[in-house]
Amino acid sequence: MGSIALHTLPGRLARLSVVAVIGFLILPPLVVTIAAFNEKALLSFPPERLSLRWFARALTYEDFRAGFWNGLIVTLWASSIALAIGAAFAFALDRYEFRLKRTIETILLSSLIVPHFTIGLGFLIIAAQIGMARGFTVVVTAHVILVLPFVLRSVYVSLRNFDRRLEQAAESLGAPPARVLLTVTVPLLLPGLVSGWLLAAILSFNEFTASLFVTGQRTQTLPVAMYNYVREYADPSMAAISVLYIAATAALLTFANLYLGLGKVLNVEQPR
Amino acid sequence: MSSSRASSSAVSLNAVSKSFGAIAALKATSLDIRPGELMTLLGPSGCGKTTLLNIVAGFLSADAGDVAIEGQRVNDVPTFQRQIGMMFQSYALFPHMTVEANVGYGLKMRGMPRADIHRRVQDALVLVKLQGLEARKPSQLSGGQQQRIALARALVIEPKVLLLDEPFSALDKSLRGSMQIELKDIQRKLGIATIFVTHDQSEALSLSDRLAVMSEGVIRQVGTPHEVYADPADRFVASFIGDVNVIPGVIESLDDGRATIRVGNGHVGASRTHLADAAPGTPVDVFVRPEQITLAAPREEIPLTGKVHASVFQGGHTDVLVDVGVEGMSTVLVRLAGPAHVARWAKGAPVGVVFAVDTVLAFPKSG
Ligand SMILES: Nc1ncnc2c1ncn2[C@@H]1O[C@H](COP(=O)(O)OP(=O)(O)OP(=O)(O)O)[C@@H](O)[C@H]1O
Ligand SMILES: [Mg+2]
Repeated sequence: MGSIALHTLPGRLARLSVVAVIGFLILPPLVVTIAAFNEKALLSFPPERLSLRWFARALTYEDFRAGFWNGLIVTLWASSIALAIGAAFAFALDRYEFRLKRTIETILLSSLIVPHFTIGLGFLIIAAQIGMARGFTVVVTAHVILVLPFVLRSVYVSLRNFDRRLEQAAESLGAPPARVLLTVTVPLLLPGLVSGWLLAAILSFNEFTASLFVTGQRTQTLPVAMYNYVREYADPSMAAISVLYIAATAALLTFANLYLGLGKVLNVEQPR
Repeated sequence: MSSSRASSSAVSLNAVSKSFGAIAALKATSLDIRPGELMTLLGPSGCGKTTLLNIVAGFLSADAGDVAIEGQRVNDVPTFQRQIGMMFQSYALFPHMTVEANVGYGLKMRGMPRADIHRRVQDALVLVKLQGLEARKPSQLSGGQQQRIALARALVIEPKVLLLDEPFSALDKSLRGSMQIELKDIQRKLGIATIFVTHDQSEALSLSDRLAVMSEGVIRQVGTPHEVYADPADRFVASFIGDVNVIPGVIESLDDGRATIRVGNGHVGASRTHLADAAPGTPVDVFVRPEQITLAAPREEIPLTGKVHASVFQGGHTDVLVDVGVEGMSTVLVRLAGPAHVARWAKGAPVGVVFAVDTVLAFPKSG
């Protein structure tokens, strides 16, 4: 009962659509990965001879190196600041009643509906108006705004699922509010905080549209550097960077999943 | 607080009230818990038991009135300074800590040295008969084991008062029974004043030194289980505690302390406690426990007659349900001691219901 027999027509359609979805998910990175190993300076497919030269180029090209480090700086700052602000607001939204609560919540989540180029353009105009150089401050600020909704959501959801009686239990046992926070609330919310931070970091590191407006030559992030590159060249070093990108993100997520999913955070005290 | 009554109480509430918006969860309630006493708050869902407990714990602040613990007014004392021990229905064990860390948490917060904590935790685990699991996480324990850990955690800090909110409601029946006995043993051994919340009246009757019966934010009666059972203060308490049959009757005559009430074709005596302003001819409800009536062959002059609806063998006693054709009630529950009754009062047999005591409870008809 309930399961679709696979030989019936709906069954076949279901199977076909699953295969199609998986295919379209896997195909682009697969094609790009193969293209990255092309020996020729063309993004042709399939490659005739294989080579690692584009990986070497991607890793040594000065703009990419600078873009990587710029992106890393922006990402670390933006996701950490967004985590602090997002967690504080998630806390307030979950626990307190205050005036304009709904309005503030809407504003905090609004960058979900405002296009990234609008935010980028807005920051560009503001920065120009107040005579601010296109330094890291502007880039980081724009990124904080962009990733804030995701962090806020992530922390808010874990707060909603948090059993407040655990805090009451700690309090009844003599723990003052600050120690309740440090010994019970934060440790138990850690998975939510870390996953919120990770989500923000990945989004920020990949962000292109707004970054295009707010970064300058000195502050351009990796996606912007890549965009500038493809305007001049069409060789497989883009594909090579993509492969590095995917590998790095996958490694990060695998690590995080081990760390969060298997509850390693929570089991540090366990002797066995 | 100045009164000596308050200072000799472990916990004392004086005209405490609490509303949530339009809902009056607790109405000007006063209650004293004596040192070493196990006081049960008993009442139906939503009557304000948890609200009262949370006010004592300091999780809620009262709108009006005073709360004192061991004679000290605590209205403005935060929970963490009240020196209470609390056990929650959901246990609320810290999932990220071991059993040892859970039980030792309160001592750590008090700044006790680690070696002392370890020793005291061991003692507490001996007390709840649960050693050898110190390194486990709560998720690796059964419900009953978690229960004991929660109790040990609340007791190890030697609180001034132990607060328990329906602690056993998640346990299966047999485990609940043995935990009740153990809790009572431990509580008596430690002599710790305890407030125990439940909506299970048999739990309240078996566990309490005294109980407070609540309904709709009001304490209806405070007394020992026997007092509350035998001498309920009002209709609500009479019908909430224990099984009871409510049988319509009419006052036939009154003298000093007693009323004679006509029930069906018979009579029964009642104390006038709850019939102060009644006159002959007043319709009343007679409240009679299943063990206060018995069965006989149907005769004239027998209060009620009817047919056996069902006979249920309950081990030590037999419950017989009798269909009586009286307006406003359908069946009467009769509880007969001993096992031999099932065959005698078979379904459909004509039967008479007679009072086995000469004084029952009667209240004026509700309304
Ligand atoms: N935080 C709250 N906000 C609004 N109303 C509340 C709140 N807490 C309790 N109430 C209301 O106050 C009344 C008393 O609630 P309380 O939790 O004290 O009942 P209870 O006797 O513990 O019931 P139960 O046996 O179901 O636990 C109920 O009508 C409840 O709906
Ligand atoms: Mg309750």
